[in-house]
Amino acid sequence: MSYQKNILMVSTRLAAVRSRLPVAARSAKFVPLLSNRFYSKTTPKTIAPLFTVSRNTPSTSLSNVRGRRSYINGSDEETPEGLRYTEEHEWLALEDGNLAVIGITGYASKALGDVVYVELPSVGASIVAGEPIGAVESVKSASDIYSPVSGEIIEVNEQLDKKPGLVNAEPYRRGWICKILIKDTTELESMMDNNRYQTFIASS
Amino acid sequence: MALLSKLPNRTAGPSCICNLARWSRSQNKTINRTLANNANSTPLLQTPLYDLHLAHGASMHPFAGFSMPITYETQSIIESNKWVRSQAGLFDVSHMVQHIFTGKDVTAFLERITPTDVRELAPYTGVYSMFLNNNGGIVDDIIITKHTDDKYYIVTNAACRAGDLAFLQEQKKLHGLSDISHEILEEWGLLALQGPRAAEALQGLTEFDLTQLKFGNVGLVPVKGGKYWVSRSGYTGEDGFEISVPKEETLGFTERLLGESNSVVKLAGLGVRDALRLEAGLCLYGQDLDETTTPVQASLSWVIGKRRRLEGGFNGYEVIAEELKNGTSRRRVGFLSDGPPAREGSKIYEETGVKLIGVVTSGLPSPTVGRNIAMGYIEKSFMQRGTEVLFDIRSRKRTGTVAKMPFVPPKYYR
Repeated sequence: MSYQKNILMVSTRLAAVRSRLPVAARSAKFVPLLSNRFYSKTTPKTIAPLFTVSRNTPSTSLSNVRGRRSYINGSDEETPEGLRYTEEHEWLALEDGNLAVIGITGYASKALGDVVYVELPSVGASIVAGEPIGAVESVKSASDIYSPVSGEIIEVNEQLDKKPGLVNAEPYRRGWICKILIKDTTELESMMDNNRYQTFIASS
Repeated sequence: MALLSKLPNRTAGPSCICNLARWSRSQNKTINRTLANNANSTPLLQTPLYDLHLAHGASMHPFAGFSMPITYETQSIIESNKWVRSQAGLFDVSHMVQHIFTGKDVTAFLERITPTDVRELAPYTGVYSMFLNNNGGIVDDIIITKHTDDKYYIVTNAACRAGDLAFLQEQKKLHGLSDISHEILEEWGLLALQGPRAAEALQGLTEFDLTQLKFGNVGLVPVKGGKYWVSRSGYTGEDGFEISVPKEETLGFTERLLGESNSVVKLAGLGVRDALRLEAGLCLYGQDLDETTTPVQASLSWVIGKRRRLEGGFNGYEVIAEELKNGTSRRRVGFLSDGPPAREGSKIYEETGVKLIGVVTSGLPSPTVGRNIAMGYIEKSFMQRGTEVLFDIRSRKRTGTVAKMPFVPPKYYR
């Protein structure tokens, strides 16, 4: 199970993915999901969608857009508002209704210590909620990552191959792990919000 | 409070691949237990440096019945590893058991229960050794230091305390050697100062010329406030010293060492100690060695003295002589790999992935080497350096190669 780095194959997969997107997104001019490099020109202040769904925004050229992806307000120290959390210390950011970005929380990455290796899931894999989708390794331990939702893995953060330390440095930003196209959004309802997660950490 | 890095697996129990939540919850429970001194469980013992560790932001964790520092908040394990190998790290290993044996029969006794050439060991010299049972199996790995023919200082593992004491009692009776006095330096401090600048740091505290102390030597070193037995030894592969200090003087001495070294010496915990010893190719009893392992299988035949190989007279000699002559079915070797680290318990297959040929007993990503290192036991026919193997890691086969140990060349002061 190795994930494909071939651009041609990824774009074929994208076509399949696009057909499952909400209608508005499908027909809008949006930046393709080809690569992490392609963002909206505006620096997002809140949870940033992967692609903007507005017909008024000029389409961005694939070749020269750079921008910082950010899923949070504030610093990486705080557990962000607006994300959902699991008891296994994963966070989930929801975009456009059914695209979920998954990572592990700062609490977990701090507990692990320096992350030296991240085992990423394969693009295209079908996932059931609760299934292990990878692992995070530090000098002294290895921990499984569990998917909070069911769906299909459509992107993994390949930056983590060369820079596993991003999980420690930016657990909510560049340390994201994978993106899942969700089948059943009701699975999100059982996840915790920031307050409940903070309470959970404090009491465990 | 930050959670702890995982302990050496032997004390943590379950396999190292664990659910983040379950693991972190158990870590927290353990911290709470330590703090609360729960009446239902035995309170953890403390070394003389317990308060110092807390003051330096240590993450404490139970180990062999003691509350021990695993990491300190000022340095990650990787940073601490680099520090010890370039500056100097100070380890509190006071949990280990320090024994003094005196009497005319001690030499003969030690020659029965270890394969070391104790009789010819030079005075004021120490060596790595092991207690052996009747099958030639290793009861514990130890350091024996001879002071004189009638006086020996021995350090044994904290986690093996009960087993070692029972073994020593039983062996004394068995061999009918009576002129043996055995004292344990209860609650004494034991400090390991390790690193290229360890000598410089310790020299600042004493007039004693430390250049006279070569690797393996021990000397009574005067420092302001006392005189302590200092041996030029350690378990990291670096130059360094192990210092035995009476209980009441341990804290004062440690604070002076930290304070007067101009920030060269930093406290280091058991987490980095495990990485350092594995990089040096050194075994951890309970993981890499146990009672079913002989020194020959463990690739530790060098511990057996030349004279002892010919003359015998130690526990398990028949088994070991046979293994020395005809070889063993398995041997401890080192491994290098990339990708996910192979850790304790990982099965080893030969390169087609069909046949199970061994098991990993210790493994982690090496901060110094920059690759994954491991040691384990493998069928003898696969033990050559460079042999390609496969590790089973989370149900996937990952490549690795048999490699030479130590992974980091030693820098002993000779």
